[in-house]
Amino acid sequence: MKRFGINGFIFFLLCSTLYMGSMLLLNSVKLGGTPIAFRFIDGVTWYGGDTYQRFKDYSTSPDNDLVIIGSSHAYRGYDPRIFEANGITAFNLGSHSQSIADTEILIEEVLDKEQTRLLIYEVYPMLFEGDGFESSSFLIANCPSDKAALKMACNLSDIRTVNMLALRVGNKFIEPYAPLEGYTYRGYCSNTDSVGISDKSKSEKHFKFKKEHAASLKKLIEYCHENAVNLLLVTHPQPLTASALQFKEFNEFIAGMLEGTGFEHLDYSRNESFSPRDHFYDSHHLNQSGVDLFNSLLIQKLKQKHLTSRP
Amino acid sequence: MLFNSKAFFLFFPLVCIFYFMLPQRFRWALLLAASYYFYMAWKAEYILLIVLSTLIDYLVSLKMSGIDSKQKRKPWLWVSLSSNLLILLTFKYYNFFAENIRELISLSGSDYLLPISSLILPMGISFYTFQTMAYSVDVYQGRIKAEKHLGYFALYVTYFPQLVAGPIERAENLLHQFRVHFKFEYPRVALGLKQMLWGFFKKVVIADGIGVFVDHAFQYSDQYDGLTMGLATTLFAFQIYCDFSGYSDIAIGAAKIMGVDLMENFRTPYLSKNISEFWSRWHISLSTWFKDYLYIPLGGNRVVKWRWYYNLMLVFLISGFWHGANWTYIIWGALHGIYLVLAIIFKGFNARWTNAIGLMKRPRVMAFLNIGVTFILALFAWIFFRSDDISQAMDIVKKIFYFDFRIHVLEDYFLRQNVSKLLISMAVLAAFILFDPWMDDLVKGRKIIPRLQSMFLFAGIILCIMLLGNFGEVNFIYFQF
Repeated sequence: MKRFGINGFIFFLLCSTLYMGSMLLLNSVKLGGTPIAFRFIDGVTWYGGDTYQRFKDYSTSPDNDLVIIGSSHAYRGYDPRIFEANGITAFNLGSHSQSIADTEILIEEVLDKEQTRLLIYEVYPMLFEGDGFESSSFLIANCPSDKAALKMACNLSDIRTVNMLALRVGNKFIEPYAPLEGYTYRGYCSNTDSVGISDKSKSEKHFKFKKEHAASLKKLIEYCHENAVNLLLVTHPQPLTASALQFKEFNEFIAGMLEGTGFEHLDYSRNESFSPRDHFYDSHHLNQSGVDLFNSLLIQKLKQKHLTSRP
Repeated sequence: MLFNSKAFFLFFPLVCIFYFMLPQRFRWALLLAASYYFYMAWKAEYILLIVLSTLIDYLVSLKMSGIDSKQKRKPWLWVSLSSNLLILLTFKYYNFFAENIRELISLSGSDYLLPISSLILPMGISFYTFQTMAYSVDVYQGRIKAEKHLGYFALYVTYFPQLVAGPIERAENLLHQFRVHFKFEYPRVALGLKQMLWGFFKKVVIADGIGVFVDHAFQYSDQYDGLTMGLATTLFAFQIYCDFSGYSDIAIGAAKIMGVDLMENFRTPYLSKNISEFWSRWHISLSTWFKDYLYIPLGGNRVVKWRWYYNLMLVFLISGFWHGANWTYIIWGALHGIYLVLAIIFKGFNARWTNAIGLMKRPRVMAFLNIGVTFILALFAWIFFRSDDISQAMDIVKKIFYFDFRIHVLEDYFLRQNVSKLLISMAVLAAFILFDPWMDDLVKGRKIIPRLQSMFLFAGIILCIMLLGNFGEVNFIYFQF
């Protein structure tokens, strides 16, 4: 047993050294402008791009009336320029496929809670479906907090996130290489095109959720409640082709989650002012004209409720 | 529970720790509980089927052991065989028969619809039913004594390393090993870990790596040309080998760590010089099962020639059907049967012909050619095994044999994929093909290398798993059988 322990330890040291050495090498040698690691290793996401820029910008402007958090629905659906034009400073901290568990970690570790008057969390049914890997992969590569990255990797316990952690170490020695596409202002990325979704209605479906995502949302709400983070859940407009039944059940689910917390959920999913042909970039993301309309409606509501007023 | 899942990486070390801490007399209980948990992690209620099969075979074998006359034991053997076959028929073959009977009835103009079952195929059902049937036959034949301890017998049926995809063990080899007091032995544990590691490498790096491309090509086979489908079939040959032999390596390695020697299931089968040799190197536990419990009782080769051919064809048809309730598997089995029958018929001609062209004097060239021909024959049969139905298989065969080769289609195939990952997978596969025989000897303890060299080699394998592995917890192909 002793021999097994000693040899096992030596073997572990050898593996760790080889692994870290290879990761640093694969991350520093580039092929066609991107590191070899990005091309060959399963699940590796890029370093740089909008996620990197967003966190970089946030570190210099943490004092905000409003911070928006969530997935691509968030960073493509809330334009800080519109809020600013209405006297509200806003920052968008959304990221690719951001999972609920990762949102909670970002609120804990990255959000400046003292300097945020209101936190808007963009929620919608699909958020409760994925495995969370894409979200963690992007954030581990690009978020500024080592602690947050470590927490995300541990949460997922997937070998691919271990690889991402190792590459994160390597990223400290190289310049971000991903191009900055669509990044507009204070975390927001705009979509100007419209694909013109058909007006035909889709078949109805039920709202389904994974238990672990529901547990993460509960934890997130409790954390905000205990730490006096002023949380507002919002669901941005959806094309009317989306299943009404699914959104009805989803709203009931969210209402149940918020019960007794004092937090609210604003649902714009069935707002009829939004046309599938003109206001959407694809089947579930708003385009710039949709964002303009939605953000004005939201600002009116926030002002009515005095949710962003400074003390 | 999958071997390549996160749960197994917690489960297995915990079982090992408790196993070595416990006194010998309690170990069976730990292993039995662990095995039930292992199975129930997939679908808890289906454990009842295993319990039912265990109880029937346990009671029947006890009953048989108390009867001296073989004639009087026979009805009890039939109780065991029919109950196991009934389980198989209900859960695995019912829909196949129902659908085919429907087709037949519809030919006569009737619109009678036989109901289709919605039961899910229980994981590993073909493996544990065959294992328990072998036990009943052995007790009936008097080759072994019936196991009186229900716990040990239940463990023989459900032993988790080999429960869901074999090797299909014989009671003669496995049961007595559970009673041996095994102390922690460093060389044995290290060898077991090496074999497990090699199995993981074969599964997550090779099989799952090339599996992405194989699945894509077969899913859209109507859009691809003969060259692409030929390549996809060749890759599939290695995918299924690495997937299944990888599983066997993990199973054998895990059992070895806990002091149990499971039988070898693969021995570099693609180096076989004829189909008969292929079957002595591929899924050895199944082919020996069929040999011992079907082929030899049918008379084997000690019968007149036509009967010998009939025996071979029957065994391979059933072997194909064992793999799955689909005509594609039956044809796959039939093809192997035909290969063997033709090899016997043309044996003399083949010898004269090779002698005439001087190949007999060049054994290396002849071995190389034989390996190549055997591999191509196996490849042809794999087309049927991998296809969803016969029409897809025939379409692929036509494309390959009509030389429907359009390079631009192949280029298109490569472009649709992540080229760098495909190239890496192919390069790793090429290295694997070169080193597999050497590694096979190494992880099975037939070859020894210096410690430092071994450490670097296995550290390199871990590195490959970490960097090139596919970690989507892809099912093992043989789970569905």
